[in-house]
Amino acid sequence: MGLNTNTRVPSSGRIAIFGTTSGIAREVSRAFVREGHDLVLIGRSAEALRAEAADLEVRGNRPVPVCVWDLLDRQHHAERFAELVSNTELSGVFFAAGVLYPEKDLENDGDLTRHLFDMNLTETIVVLNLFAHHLQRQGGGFLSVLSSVAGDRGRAANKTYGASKAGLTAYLEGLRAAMQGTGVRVQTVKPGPVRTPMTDGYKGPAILLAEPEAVARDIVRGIRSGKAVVYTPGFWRLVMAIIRALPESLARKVPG
Amino acid sequence: MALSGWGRTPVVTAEGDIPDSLRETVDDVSSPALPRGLGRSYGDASLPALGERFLETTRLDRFISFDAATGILIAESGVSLHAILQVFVPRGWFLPVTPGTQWVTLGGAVASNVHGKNHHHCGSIEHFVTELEVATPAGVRHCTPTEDADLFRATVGGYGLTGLITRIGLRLKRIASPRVRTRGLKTPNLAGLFEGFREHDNGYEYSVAWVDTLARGNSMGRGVLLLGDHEGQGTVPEKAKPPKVPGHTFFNVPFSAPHGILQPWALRLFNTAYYRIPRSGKEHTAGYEGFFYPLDVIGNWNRMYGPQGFFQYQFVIPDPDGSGAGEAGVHAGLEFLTRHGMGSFLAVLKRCGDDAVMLPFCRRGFTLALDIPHRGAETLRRLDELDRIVLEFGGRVYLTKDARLSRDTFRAMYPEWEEWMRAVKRVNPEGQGRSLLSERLGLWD
Repeated sequence: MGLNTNTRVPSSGRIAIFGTTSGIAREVSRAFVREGHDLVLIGRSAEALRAEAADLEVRGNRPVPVCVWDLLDRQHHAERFAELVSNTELSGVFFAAGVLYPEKDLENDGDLTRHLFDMNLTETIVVLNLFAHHLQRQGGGFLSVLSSVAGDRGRAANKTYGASKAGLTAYLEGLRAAMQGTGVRVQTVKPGPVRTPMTDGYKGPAILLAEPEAVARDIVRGIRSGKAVVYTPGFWRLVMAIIRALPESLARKVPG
Repeated sequence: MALSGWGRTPVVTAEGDIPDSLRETVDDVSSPALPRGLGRSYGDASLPALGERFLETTRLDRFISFDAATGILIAESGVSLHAILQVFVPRGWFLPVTPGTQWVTLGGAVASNVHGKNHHHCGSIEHFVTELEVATPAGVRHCTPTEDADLFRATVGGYGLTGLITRIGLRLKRIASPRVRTRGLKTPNLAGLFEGFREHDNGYEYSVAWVDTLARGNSMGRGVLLLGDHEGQGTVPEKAKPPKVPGHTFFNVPFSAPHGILQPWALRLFNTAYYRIPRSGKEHTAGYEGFFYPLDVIGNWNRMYGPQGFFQYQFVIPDPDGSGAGEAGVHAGLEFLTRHGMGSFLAVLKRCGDDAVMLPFCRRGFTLALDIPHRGAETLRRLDELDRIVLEFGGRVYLTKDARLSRDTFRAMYPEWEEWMRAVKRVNPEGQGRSLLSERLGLWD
């Protein structure tokens, strides 16, 4: 597989977008298409996928195939995956399937909590393993996965969501080490709050709410440069470095 | 949440939704809300009336299809004009009609029946809309200029009152280059400007004049006539080099200036400096963004008027038989404005033709648009006086810019309003999703 000299995104093959209808994935898809990449969209709802694909086909003036695949349909992961890779050569994967619920709903609802971990962690890892091994076999590609700054430190306001993302971040760090020297580049993306349907209940300072277009630009740039961890907007790298360095007694007092 | 139009007055508190798919939106037409796009109308057209909710369309921003044989683009209504340009300019297509900013949604552009610098040749956006799908309180309707034409003509330029536009067909136009051949002609006064229009604007697709609203006496109405054409019009090169589409702001006004920085002395300085820029009158080429969207490079420029906000006042004076009535009306309006020192950072004069929608703004004649800082009760009183002058000349004020027109003045300016509202009420009999504008103007009475 040929690598373009000035980009780490292989020039042949399609980029798979998993969780296409999330606010960030939509903008990342649009940014990829703008740069001339071919995509394949993966998601749960055929109707929603078709709407996104039609949009991207107009934007890129080239076909965008779709693949209906429900992350919670655990019996069929191997089958769906085989279907996907049997008729598509992949250059990389952007993975953005995930959910966020208010902490107080999670506290009182065990099923919701299990659902959140199934989505954000358990099934995500199962599916990422499939992709990682496939890319390894074919000799390279990228795996860029949406985690969150919420996984960097336990916080009262989102302790459950944060725990799922902390787990994902740890898994990705390990996967990166495992893929060392295989040509598969694993990237952890840690956005702060982004103006998407997921954060419509956001009560924090408006200035911290990033625009999805800007976040998508950071992600695509990060993939191109082969960065291991992308914080977006970039200031979160510094903020989280400080917050992670604080002793717990002080970290507890940081508002938000 | 607090909500206002681009003029930042009035400000209302309202709740609403930002759906991210049409499916959930259309399923929910039983409780309609006022559609709202990027909030670039100046006054209260996009603000919900008391107790009403809004529905923001910015996530209903998908393209649906494009036919390169006909140039017809089908899209959801929350697609911005910027997104259309970004995708289609590199492929040799342009908006058939564009307002002075690309940061409006296509749905908003249709609901306001926007006009551009080519109105004198091809009219408002209505003539390029091939179809609409509207989620009305009476159900989802499909309409075109010939099929359910009443709904079509009530929805284009209908300020969102017939319901949410869910799907729009727009005929784009071929361009050979992203650049514009342009020419600026300095004119010493208003009479000179009108003469410039008469002499030159038939020869150019685009024309607009900037007017120094602070110059008095013999110089009243001095300005600069800007003319333009798409470069290489008529020839489409085989392989056009994909142009750079910047679309980002060069400078952002980070917060509202405490008392507004556009004080009278600053306006005078700006206007004089702008007029003094040497203009050869010769043609040169420029990027389309600088020509069509000069203000888009300053993000949130509306904050420069301070926390009290500003009004944009745009009026048209008809001149159906070319007898000079339009010129006399603009002259009277401008004379009133300069006499009371109500100068503007940006005043724009344009020749236009007739709109055909049910509630038309553009009339064959001249239109003048200017920003007026909100300085309290006196500003409102002066604008009422200006309304009377406009009315005297048979003119009307553009509702997309308006925040303060009275019910009676509106009715006198727009005798077509009753026919339009009859069509609106056929699909929205209970007046659901009312805008503040619609209540202020007594449209539901």
